[in-house]
Amino acid sequence: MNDIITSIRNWAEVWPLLIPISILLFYGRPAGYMRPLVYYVAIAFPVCLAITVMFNFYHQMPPGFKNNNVFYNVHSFIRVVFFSLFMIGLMKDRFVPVIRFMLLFYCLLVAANFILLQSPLLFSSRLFTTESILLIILSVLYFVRTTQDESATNWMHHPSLYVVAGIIFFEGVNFFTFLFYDPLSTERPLFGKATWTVHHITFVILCTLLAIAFRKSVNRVTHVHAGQQ
Amino acid sequence: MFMQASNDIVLMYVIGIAMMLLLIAGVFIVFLINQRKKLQYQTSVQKLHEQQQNQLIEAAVKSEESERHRIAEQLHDEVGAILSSTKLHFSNINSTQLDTQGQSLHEKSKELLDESIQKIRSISHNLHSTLLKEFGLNEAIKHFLKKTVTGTLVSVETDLDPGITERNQLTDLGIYRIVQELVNNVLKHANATRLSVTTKMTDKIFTLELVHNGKGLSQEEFEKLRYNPSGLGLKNIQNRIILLKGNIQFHRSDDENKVTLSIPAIEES
Repeated sequence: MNDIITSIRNWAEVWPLLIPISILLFYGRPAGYMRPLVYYVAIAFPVCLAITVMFNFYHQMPPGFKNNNVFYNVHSFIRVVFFSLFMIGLMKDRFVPVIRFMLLFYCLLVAANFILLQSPLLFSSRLFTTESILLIILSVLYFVRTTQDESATNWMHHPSLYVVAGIIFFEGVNFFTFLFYDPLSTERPLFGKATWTVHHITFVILCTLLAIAFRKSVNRVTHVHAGQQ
Repeated sequence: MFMQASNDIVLMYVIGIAMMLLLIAGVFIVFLINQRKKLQYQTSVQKLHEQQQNQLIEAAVKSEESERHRIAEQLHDEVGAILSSTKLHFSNINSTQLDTQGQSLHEKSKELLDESIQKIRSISHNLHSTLLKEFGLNEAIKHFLKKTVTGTLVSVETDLDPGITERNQLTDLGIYRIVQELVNNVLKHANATRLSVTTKMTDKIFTLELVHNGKGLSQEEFEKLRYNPSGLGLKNIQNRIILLKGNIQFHRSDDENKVTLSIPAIEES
């Protein structure tokens, strides 16, 4: 039993991504504005697979393939890029230049961080914390935008709400995990490990909400087509 | 000292997550309250829009009804009176003094005059709803069917619920006009030989079924045709259905076509 739980925990960055992937495979293409998230899932899966394989088969790995930190950094970077693109595609109004500017600024920060301050081969707590701040701001912008929206769109049942709920929950909870990652991993390694379990749980929730959003978005597309016929 | 610092980090971590969760919950509550308010506002606007639309339809139906009354009265009182007077004068012509051809023409003219008087009476009664007001919906439908199919190849059957007596007059008039429109459509377009009209009242829902064996409409065709600007009949039916808060269903099969009308009962005000 313990082995099963350990396996589930050890692969907890891979199998949650299979939930939205299987929804995409079974139910087909979601709405256009969901495309960046489809790309995110498609790219995140091999990246997370690489992270987990390197971790679980550390001793069998050749010397140059023992460090999975670079993949963690890549995962964080693509999460920001694709979720920002998703927001840009969804909002299509005065918030778009703000998000574009934030994304550009983030890219410059990442470049400066890895060129001047840190090696990309190290786990960058700074990068993850910035990711959290940025995506929390984007989520708040989403809520501001939907509050000001006067169109007939029912945002309470809109697929995007599930995505934003997933992001804000994931980033909100993990902000402190990322912020205190370095001191916790050195001073309280056991507690640090436990916080990473929290990260895994929130990642499962994020992926489940992404899957629900994909499913709901496919429903909506089918409904519109049926209405047009 | 070292232990104290790490304990502080753990405490900050736990408090931070708790604060963040509270903040997220707060954002969601504000969002939900706002969206619910927006939805309520939109529903009320939509209701108002529907109300306005219904008022417009009601005004149009009422004006149509009063126009029918005016035309019926003019036909009956003016044209009918002139024709009756003409008949009286015509009867006074001594046809015995005419030759055979003249007598035949005189007879033919009298027949045509009688027919015209009958037609005027019939049209006037159709436009006017006197029978409906005096004898109720069942009698009005029976009378209308009998009168309309006379001289055609269509055989009519009726099975009208005798329990339908105390109803709102406006509702009855609406149903009567819908039946008129539907039966006229069957006679004009369906090439039917059998027609049956059944009514029943169950759980305060009035249901009327019109079944015929001719060429009928499916629900999809009705939905399409009712928006056709040239087809006034189906649009009238739809307007009256909206006004009566009812529902109409067209069902087509190989051997028979059915139109089902359901109207909720409205208490007499």
